[in-house]
Amino acid sequence: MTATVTDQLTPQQAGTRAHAVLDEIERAVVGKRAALELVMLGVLAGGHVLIEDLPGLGKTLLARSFSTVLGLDFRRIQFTPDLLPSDVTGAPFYDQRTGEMVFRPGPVFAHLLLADEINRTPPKTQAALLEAMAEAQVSTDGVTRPLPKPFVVIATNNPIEYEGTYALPEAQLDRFLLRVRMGYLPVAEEAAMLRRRLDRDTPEAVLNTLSNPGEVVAMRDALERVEVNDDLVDYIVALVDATRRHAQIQVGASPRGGLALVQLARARAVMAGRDYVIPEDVKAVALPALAHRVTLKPELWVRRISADDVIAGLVQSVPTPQTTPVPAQGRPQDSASAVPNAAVPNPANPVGA
Amino acid sequence: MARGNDNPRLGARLAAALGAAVVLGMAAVAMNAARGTALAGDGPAKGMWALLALGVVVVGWTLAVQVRRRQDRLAAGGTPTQSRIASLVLPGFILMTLATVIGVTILGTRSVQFSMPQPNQGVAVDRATGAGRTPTALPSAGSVDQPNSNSSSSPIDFQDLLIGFLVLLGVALVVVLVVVLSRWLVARRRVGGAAEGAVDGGLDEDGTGEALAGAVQAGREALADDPDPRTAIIACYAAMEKSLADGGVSRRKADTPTDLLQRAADAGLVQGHAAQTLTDLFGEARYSTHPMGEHQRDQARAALESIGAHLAAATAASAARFGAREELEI
Repeated sequence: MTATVTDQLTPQQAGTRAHAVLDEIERAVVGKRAALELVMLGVLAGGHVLIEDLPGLGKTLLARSFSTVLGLDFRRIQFTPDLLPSDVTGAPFYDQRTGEMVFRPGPVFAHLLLADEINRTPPKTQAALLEAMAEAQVSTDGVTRPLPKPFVVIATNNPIEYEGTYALPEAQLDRFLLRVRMGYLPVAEEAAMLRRRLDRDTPEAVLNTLSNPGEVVAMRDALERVEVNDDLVDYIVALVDATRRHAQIQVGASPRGGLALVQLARARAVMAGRDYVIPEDVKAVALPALAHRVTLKPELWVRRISADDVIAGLVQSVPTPQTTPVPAQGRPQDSASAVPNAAVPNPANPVGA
Repeated sequence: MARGNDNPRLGARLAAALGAAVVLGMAAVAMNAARGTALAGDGPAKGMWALLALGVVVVGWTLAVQVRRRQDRLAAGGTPTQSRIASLVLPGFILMTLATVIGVTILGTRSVQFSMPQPNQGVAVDRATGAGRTPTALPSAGSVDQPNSNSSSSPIDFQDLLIGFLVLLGVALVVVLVVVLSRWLVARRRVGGAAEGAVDGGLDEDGTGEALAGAVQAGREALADDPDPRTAIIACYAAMEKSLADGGVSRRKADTPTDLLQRAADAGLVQGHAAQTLTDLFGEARYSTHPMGEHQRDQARAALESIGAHLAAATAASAARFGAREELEI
């Protein structure tokens, strides 16, 4: 695998490289291929990933492994209750030699930012990431500074602790393209993981860098050459609309949720070596793309029904496109008519938030 | 299939509701019938009201737990209306249990008092003059023919009523049995025509094989006749889908081709890579603008032949299992 900057990659090439990256990461993060693929989808789709699970499941290791193998500049912020917004974005300071105020960039100026335990800091500091995540830029003292490309936030969230934590507001959650749960390893996989630790001399596996920022951008650009059929666009809209009409959901998914579905489905198609999206792609990413964007009715908390349950049921009830294409009015007869490059706006700022 | 299962379940629920109403009614009468009724007075089971109340609590609790479990299992399905109704079921069970327990407690702890003044006795008030407001003393219990609280004073024997209830229950059971039997016979006659989403698990002796053969033949014709390979491949996949439906695995509305294929494989209808190849070709033909050529058409044809061969083998095995039958040409 070369680490050269590639101007243009086909979806098949991008998919091959993505799988090579995942294979390398899997040397360190054992038995989590599904979670790794979801994070890779988020990276390819140009979004940010929220990893939500219990402590000790390898969330931080996963983020560090991605940065190492993808060759991205990595920064980490340990979110604490006393963290300030300027600790995230950076702040101007007085340079005594020049007598001027000089901006000192914060850790957000990196390719891959690990926001560890993001729910431990107050909403004020959480909100410091809003502009960075949505628009890939930071505005301080009236000056807007762009963030390096690619810019990926991988945030971890501990769902079981309530003391001293601040739940992420909906606006912040909506900025994450997808939410990933890692879960415990199966017993056999856990034994293999322990065996690997015993077999090597170092605490962690040393990973090779297989890519670079330019190539990651090229892989992202390959998504724009993946076509999305009109029927699938309708299917995505139906899924998002169903979240707004569901009896158990108080607030449904935003339009950003539909855009996330489109981009994640395209990324999944790339991972499968296709340059077209099929219904399986949409269905597979619906849960991680939508579950964190909906707010359930309060009474469901008593019945221990989670948003994951509701979205999973919803995906099993919304009709997929019919086998035989039905020509619609005002739509070209040809079934695969979506224009790949024009169909979807830049996911970094999908609705101009 | 699903509909076929629902109706007997509905009948069983209605029968259970009827049975519960009859049992509760009998229990109430056996404890304490209201005045003015034929059985007015305390019944023979009055002393066991606490036992009955406990039974009601146990049954109510069991039903509530079952409903809760089922709601948790079906956490997020159904229409909004169904979800609203489902959310009311559990509180409804609890309220009904409470109401029944309170009712049983009242019936068990209170005796019916017959203190209505007789026409010529009791409190005499001269309404016209307003005089005589001082109540006169009630006659002693022995001097009046007053029904006491003993059930033996009831004009109808409780045992007669119990026998009557049991006879009615027997008649109801006979009616339910007749209805269930007749439905079963009708369903047996109406063989074939798998319901939407049903998974029957393969071939049988009722003519499914012919339907499968016909669907495969339709796919062959689509591949041969249609000049556009894209349309031909889609038609071929549609033929496979129909053949699977005829074999008992229908496409559900929220199914992707992979979902359908998985269910067909689980049911033993498809094996090997042929169906997967045809599904992949269909995905490309249906959802991409790729030019589809004769090569893909040939691939689809080969996949269809393989599927047809498997279906023929399965049909032959089925024929061997269920006895000799007309040989199919697939």
